[in-house]
Amino acid sequence: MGKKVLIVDDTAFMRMTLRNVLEKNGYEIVGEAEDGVQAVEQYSLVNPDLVTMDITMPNMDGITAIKKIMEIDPVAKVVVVSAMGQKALVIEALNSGAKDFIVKPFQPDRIVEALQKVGG
Amino acid sequence: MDAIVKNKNDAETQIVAFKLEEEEFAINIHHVREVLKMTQVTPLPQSAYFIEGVINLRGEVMPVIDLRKRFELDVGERGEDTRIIIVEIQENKVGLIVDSVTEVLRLSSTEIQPPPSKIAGTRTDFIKGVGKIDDRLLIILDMDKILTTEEVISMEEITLSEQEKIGTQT
Amino acid sequence: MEEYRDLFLAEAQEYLQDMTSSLLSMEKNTDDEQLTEMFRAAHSLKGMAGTMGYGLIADVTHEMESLLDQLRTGKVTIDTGFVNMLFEAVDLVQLLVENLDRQDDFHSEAVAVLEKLRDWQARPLQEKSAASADASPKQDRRLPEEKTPAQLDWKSAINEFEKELLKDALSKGERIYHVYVRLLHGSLLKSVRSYMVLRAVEKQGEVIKSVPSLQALDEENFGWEFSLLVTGSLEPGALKKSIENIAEIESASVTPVELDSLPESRVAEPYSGKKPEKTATSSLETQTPSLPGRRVEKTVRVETAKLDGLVNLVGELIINRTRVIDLGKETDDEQLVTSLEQLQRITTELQSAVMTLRMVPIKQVFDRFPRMIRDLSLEKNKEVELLISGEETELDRTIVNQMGDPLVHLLRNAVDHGLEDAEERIKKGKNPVGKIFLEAHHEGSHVVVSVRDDGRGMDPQAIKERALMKKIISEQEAEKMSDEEALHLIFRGGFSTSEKITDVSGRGVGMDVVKTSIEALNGTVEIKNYPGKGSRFTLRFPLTLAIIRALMVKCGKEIYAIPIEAIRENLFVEPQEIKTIRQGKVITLREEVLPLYSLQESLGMGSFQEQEIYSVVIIQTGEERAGFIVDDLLGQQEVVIKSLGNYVNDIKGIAGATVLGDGRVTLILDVASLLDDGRVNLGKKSVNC
Repeated sequence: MGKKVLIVDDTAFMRMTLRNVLEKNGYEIVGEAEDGVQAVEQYSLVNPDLVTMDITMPNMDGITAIKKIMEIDPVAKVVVVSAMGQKALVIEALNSGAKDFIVKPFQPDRIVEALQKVGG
Repeated sequence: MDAIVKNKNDAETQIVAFKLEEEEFAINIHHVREVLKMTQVTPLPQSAYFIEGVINLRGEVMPVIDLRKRFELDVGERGEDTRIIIVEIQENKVGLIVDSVTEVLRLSSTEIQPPPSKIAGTRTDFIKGVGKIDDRLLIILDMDKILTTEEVISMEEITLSEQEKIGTQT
Repeated sequence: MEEYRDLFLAEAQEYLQDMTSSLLSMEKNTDDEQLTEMFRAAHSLKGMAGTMGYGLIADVTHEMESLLDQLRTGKVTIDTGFVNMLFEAVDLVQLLVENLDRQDDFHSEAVAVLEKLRDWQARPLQEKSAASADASPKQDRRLPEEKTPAQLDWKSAINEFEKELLKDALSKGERIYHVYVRLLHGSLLKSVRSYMVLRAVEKQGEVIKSVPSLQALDEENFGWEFSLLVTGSLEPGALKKSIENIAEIESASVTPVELDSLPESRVAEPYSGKKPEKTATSSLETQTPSLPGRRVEKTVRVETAKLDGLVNLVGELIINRTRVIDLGKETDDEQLVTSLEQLQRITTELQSAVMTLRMVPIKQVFDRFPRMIRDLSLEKNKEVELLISGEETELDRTIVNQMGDPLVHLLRNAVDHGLEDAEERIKKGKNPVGKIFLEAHHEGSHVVVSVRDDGRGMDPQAIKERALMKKIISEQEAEKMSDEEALHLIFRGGFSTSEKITDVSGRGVGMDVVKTSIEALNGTVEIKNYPGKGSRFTLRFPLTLAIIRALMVKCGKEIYAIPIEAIRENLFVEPQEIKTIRQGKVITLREEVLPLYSLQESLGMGSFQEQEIYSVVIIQTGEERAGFIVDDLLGQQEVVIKSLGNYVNDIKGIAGATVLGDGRVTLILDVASLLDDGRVNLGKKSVNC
């Protein structure tokens, strides 16, 4: 059984891309969330092994969502999927508990590598 | 004004009626953006004879045409009633100087007759139709054609053709 | 998808440009930096194309990347054939990027290029081993580790103070370690990667020194590797593992260092007592905003339409400001007057700030020329060196976008007609390599761009003959024509459309088009000829198009605006100074005879009126000069250029209109066409005495 992943991103295109890549590499997608609020809700519901987290999203941004998730589960493994040029935000996300990050537009092998390094 | 109340059937055309000399003309309201009082016009050198110049409409520079000149009439006095009708045709905004704007009317399809058939010496291609309300006659102009040709159009030609039309009918 | 597409397009163009420049310099001399740059560009483009699903682009860039990798490892060598092939690949990718919706149309081209790229890779490999010949797109993103840690010269960079810190650490029983980190090629946000590494390191020790500096790491001024000098009692294996567990870290090594092995510092820096560099984490943290959502990006992409909207609004604001200020002049209210002055100052600043938003460096056009000249020189078999300077000069985006074509034509001409071939140059005692200088600089409110070559120069006699042959001028005209005037004949319609269309300068576009397109940008062009030594074309453009300075002149009842850049001078002329030559009026100004026209007459707004003294404005476009009589000069003013609309465009002599402070419309004169027109009307051109 592959690791369970929750995909958080406000664009359907990105969610789809991530799902394709991860499923091809043996991950099981247990949920998708369009914003931070949904991400936090889903996290406690589906209890994933890994989370991919977009930063800029409506309603609740990724950084706030990471903080909330870390409150629920201090050992949560969140990998930030950021857009280019979001240096400060990525650093803040890392300081908020994210384990690693990759930059969009990403190469499939890079996201897989990041997830492997973070959570096996 | 009774005409508006009476004719509420579906095939109505809304028009803006205006005067040049003693003739009454009209333009489909669809083309009309607004009506202004006469304002300062900057002459435009080396342009067509009927182009009066350009005006400033809230920062936008817009050419204006003197319809009297366009129809080969003497340029009359501009007075209190003189108006500039801003029309938009094929994405170009142009002002038309007229003696006065009389009213906005709705005409039912029965009140509009097609342009008179071509008779030698008359010009009907600039006319969309003739509106007839009681004993008033409104010549509905085809602004598209009038603005896109540089040809001389004389008022007599237009009105003559219209009178012939009326003549043949009665 | 759409939002990524725009980003993709913009970045793909940047990467393509990077690849082109790298290739050009690699051709001259292969250095690792260029190679890395090119590699990075190909790699990034591949990644982006892959994400976006543009398979052909991904395939081609993948093969380019593999080939470049082989170059790095010395498996292939660089020569013109190699560079040409890579250019072919760059061109194809350019084509694919420009036609994202029609990828399939280019399938066969792509296959051909892919085959070439693969053949090249296979060539040297056959001689060696076939082991790593696999070039399938899914494999091997990483580079072989050919660079050793020693290549980062961290040892000699250690200063006295850092040495003290190291000694201090040793005295506390700690050890010194050299941590060397390699990132995967094409990693993005490298600064944050290095931040993660520093964070991991600082859990166990203290970072004394970083090569490149911490600042360079933070600003992403480094390649794919960096070194840290760390003190502490740490577990090398565990640290290596924790660093390598960070995404996109290719490898890390942690090796103990003996203090003795460090060289004496060359530059003895005085011991200041202060810590020179704070430790890494804190230095980065100071830049980390505490509020979520705040951004520190240096640039923002804005749609040009929004920008233009803003510029228009500011134009409106300026018009209204002038109106308000005029009204203010009628009052004695001091507070109002002071506020209005304030308003004037702020709006002027706002205007110039907004105008700079439209400014872009001229580099954007210049960048494509080195490649073009290279191809031309190969094609024409002439050795050419293009020397560019002033590419950072900024001017209005619209002008930058539109000046490309005229410049292309001038450069092509320089290669085709200006420069001699090597044989001829040697005979003349010149360097066999021809030089073309492309230069840009600011000059007041203008940008001057010049194209100069050190070729044979122009032959006025030959130009005259050609103009005669083409029936552009008559025999009589040719006789009277000065050499300088003859040079300008090349701008006449029909002059340069040659019957044999050479691939270089032909293409059916003549120099007349060059002149027209320059003038359409309110620009001018001048020619300087140095027979036997070359020629120079100097183009002059206004910095911006939307707002210009103009001289307001009164003429009859009307006021007209004349763009300042077209005005040479204003003067008063007495009736007896005006002479008549062949029905035309002329005046003599500093021994130069200039035609004199009445502006009112030229515009067809009235006829010449005798006066006791005439106000004359001397107007110049290019080399053409003439005087225009006006009724009065009203002073200079900034005006916002407005179009007359489609219904009455293309009126001779009128470039547009502007709205004055009092709301009335004033026409802006098109000086170039007035000068032409004046000539046509009077059936003659300026006369030499």
